[in-house]
Amino acid sequence: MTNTSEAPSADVLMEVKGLKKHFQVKKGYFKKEISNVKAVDGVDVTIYEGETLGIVGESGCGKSTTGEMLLGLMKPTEGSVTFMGKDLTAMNKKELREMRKDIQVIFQDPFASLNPRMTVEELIGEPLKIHTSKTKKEIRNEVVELLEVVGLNQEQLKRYPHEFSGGQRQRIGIARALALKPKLIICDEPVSALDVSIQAQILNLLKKLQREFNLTLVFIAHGLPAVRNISDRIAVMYLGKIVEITDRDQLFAGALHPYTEALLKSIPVDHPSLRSNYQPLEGDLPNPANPPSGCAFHTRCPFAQEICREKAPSLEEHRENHHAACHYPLYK
Amino acid sequence: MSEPLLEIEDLRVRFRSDEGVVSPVNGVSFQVHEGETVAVVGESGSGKSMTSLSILGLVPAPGEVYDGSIRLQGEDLTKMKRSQMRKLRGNEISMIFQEPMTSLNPVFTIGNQMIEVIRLHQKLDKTESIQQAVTMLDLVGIPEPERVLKQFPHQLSGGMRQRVMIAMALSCNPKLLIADEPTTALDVTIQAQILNLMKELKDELNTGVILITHDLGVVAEVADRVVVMYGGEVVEEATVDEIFNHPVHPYTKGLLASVPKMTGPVEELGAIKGSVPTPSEMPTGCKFHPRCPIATDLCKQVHPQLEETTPQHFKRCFHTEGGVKHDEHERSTIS
Amino acid sequence: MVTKTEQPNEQALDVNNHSAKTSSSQSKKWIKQLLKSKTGTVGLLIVVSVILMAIFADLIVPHSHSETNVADRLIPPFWMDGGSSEYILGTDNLGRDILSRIIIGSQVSLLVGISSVIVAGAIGLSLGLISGYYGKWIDQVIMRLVDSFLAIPNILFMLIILAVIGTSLPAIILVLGVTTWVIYARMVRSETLSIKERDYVKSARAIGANDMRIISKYILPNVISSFIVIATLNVATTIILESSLSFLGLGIQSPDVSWGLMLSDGRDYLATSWWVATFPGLAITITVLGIIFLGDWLRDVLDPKTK
Repeated sequence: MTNTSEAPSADVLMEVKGLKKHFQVKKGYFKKEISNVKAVDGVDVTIYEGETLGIVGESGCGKSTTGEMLLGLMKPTEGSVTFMGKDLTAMNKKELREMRKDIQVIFQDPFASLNPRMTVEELIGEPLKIHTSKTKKEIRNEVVELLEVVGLNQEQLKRYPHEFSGGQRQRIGIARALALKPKLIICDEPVSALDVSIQAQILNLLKKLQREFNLTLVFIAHGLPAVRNISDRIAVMYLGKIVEITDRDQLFAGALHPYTEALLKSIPVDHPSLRSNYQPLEGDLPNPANPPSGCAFHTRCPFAQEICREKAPSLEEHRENHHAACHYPLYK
Repeated sequence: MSEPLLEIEDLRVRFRSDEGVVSPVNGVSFQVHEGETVAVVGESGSGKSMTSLSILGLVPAPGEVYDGSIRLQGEDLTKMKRSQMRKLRGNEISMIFQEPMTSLNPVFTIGNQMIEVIRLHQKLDKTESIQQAVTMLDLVGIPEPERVLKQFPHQLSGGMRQRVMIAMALSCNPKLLIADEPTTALDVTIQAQILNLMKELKDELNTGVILITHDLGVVAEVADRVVVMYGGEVVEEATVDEIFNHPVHPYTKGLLASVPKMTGPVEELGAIKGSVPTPSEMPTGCKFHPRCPIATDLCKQVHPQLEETTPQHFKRCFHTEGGVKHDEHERSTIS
Repeated sequence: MVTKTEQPNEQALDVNNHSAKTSSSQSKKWIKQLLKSKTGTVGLLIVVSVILMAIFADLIVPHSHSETNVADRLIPPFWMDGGSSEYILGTDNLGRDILSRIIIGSQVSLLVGISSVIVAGAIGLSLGLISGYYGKWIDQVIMRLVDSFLAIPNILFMLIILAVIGTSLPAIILVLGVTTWVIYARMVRSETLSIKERDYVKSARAIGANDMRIISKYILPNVISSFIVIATLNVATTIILESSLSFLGLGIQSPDVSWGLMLSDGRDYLATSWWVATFPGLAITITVLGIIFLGDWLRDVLDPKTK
């Protein structure tokens, strides 16, 4: 493996600015009534080379939609995604296909993300077939190599996905993503469909591969413990916006946004001795088609004031490298 | 200790097909007392869900409970007639499922479904059962219960639906509640609400709860006692503190080590190698031996028995403190 | 449950040798699977014998299929009173031997049944894939076309076309194909719509596969099994549809013969001489069953899960 890591780790790999995705949902028989679901509503984030950025949030927060836009699989309504100096959102189909060599993805459900009619060899060799002019034999040798990298073996080349367990399938998916030696891999809930003991294997594997291939990872998940385990920095999303972003340890040591705080306290404890009488957040997640005015979190926020109902707070640096979108951040 | 509410002894379930006999549950025994939450922990294929279905007499065909007993306050459920079991379900034993959307009938209102359950098991007239339904919805923290009664399942959020499911399950004051991954499909903040609700209800109603889960965090949060299952059998059983402080079985240890933590330093996770075998390819001897870091030849050949190490702490392993035991019957049924 | 399909190690890196071996082991596997499935074997036997019958029809017919013989009209099958061992399955209203006509008729019926399903299937499959995959205006256009085909009664449509271009065997195949493609187009479109949203198609886009490749390698292989099921069922419908054309005088014309034509000829004699219509009907049923059995087996073979 040629490891061309000439850039220092602080180099910007991807710059996301003002990213928005609004879906128009037509209702009613005559399709008159149109509601605008703001799945992603203004996301700014910088991804540095070699880091792992975790994106956490609950369902409907727009984390997966953001992921698809970073991949260039979905056109944003507004905003730009600049990857190595080029704007993905301005690329045509052909340029995007070319760019796929550098940005890859690992999906959540290893049972759904592998074509059931392809063998392992075809699945992992497919990106090489598309992007290189390698011979069948060269491709097979690379596939065998990739299988070893992800902890499978070459006897499994001719098998079909259904012959594998969930963890093994996820390894196949990872090998497929690695085949073109990408710079950035977007992991969209890569472990949440797996058994506990397998989750740990996959998390460890991702960390190992990141070191070995100098990968940059965006790790999208709803499970904070897994995100904490793998990420260098963590962004917390709520209803289409990043509400807080900072280094991992900083986030766990002192969250600034009340939502982050609530999220951290909602996670079941590590040990029965840590049980508390914490009263969980009340209410449900608001409907993204009809988000609350002002700060989207004000309907559930224990500290909400008048201004929170009226004005949406912007993402500001309240401490060094610690940004939060809150009028009354939790200083402790 | 008082009489147990539920006593499962040597429960065995098998599925016969053209390809042979598969046993997803292979000699499971444990007890549940009144007001106690017992967490049954395991990964997919551990037999935990099949165990809970056996208690309700709902093992899907061609499966059957072919050995062992399940006694609810002394009465053996495995020997009951179908009609008796039907009367029991929803009345003495209730169940809540993982996916509240698919377990509610989408074409009836919440009220319709709740009142049907209540009237099926209790001799109440219509107004009384509506009153009972409102009381139950109120109990599980649903605002404006009268309005919710008139709504259809799709009009409620996931968390609300799970609350409705719990209200329905509790509406006939069951002695035993089986919760199969009740929070797995929910968001984190909603999961916290539901777990909180379960803790409150347990104190209030003194119901015995079997909590089926793969999430050790949920176990740490609400369980009193823990039964760890692997390959269709119990490999360890102890109080929740014992399990977290002094796990004995290598599988339990591995499981605890493989969970990413929210506190303490971030470390490499202690993953268990390999994957869970399917029931048809279950190894001989100790079922965990191919994945076990301390397995020896003995583990490959002989099936270990569940034995008490310290009071109220049971394990199925040769190589942790405690003697070596096995019996011939077990060996012959495995091969 | 898990079948072992392991290849020996040393083979894995030897490209030529390997692919040769897999293709032969593949066909061996197919045959093994065919013999394992009883219905598949029966289906294959039926289909092969019907095809052989069609190919060697002229050599095996006991009588001429078109020569009329009024003296021997409506003779019942040989086991009935008045039956004759000369005409095993009896004769029709013009004294023609039914067995001979079934044998010769198999040529046209098979040809029409299978070819028009191929024509319809090809049109329906490609339009359905395009419509479902690309969506937007192409989908709108194709679906409106489908709607209009559904709105016009099939028979009327066929009559008009045949009246314009004249009736001949290729014309009949074409017309039957063009009128029945809608079934496939709708089925393939809806399957494509759901498969398009699956993660593995997304993953194909993520590795940079172009539309052609996604359609041919990711979508087509996953719709093909339901397609085959519908197609085999439609061979039957087409054979019968051809008979209604014959009945209206626009199908196969005497002295040529098809099972459909025989069926409609026999309709007038159903009450008095049941055999005239029953035997061609049986021929259709048996052939169609054979094709369906074979189709079922084919669907299983194409599904890697059943290997």
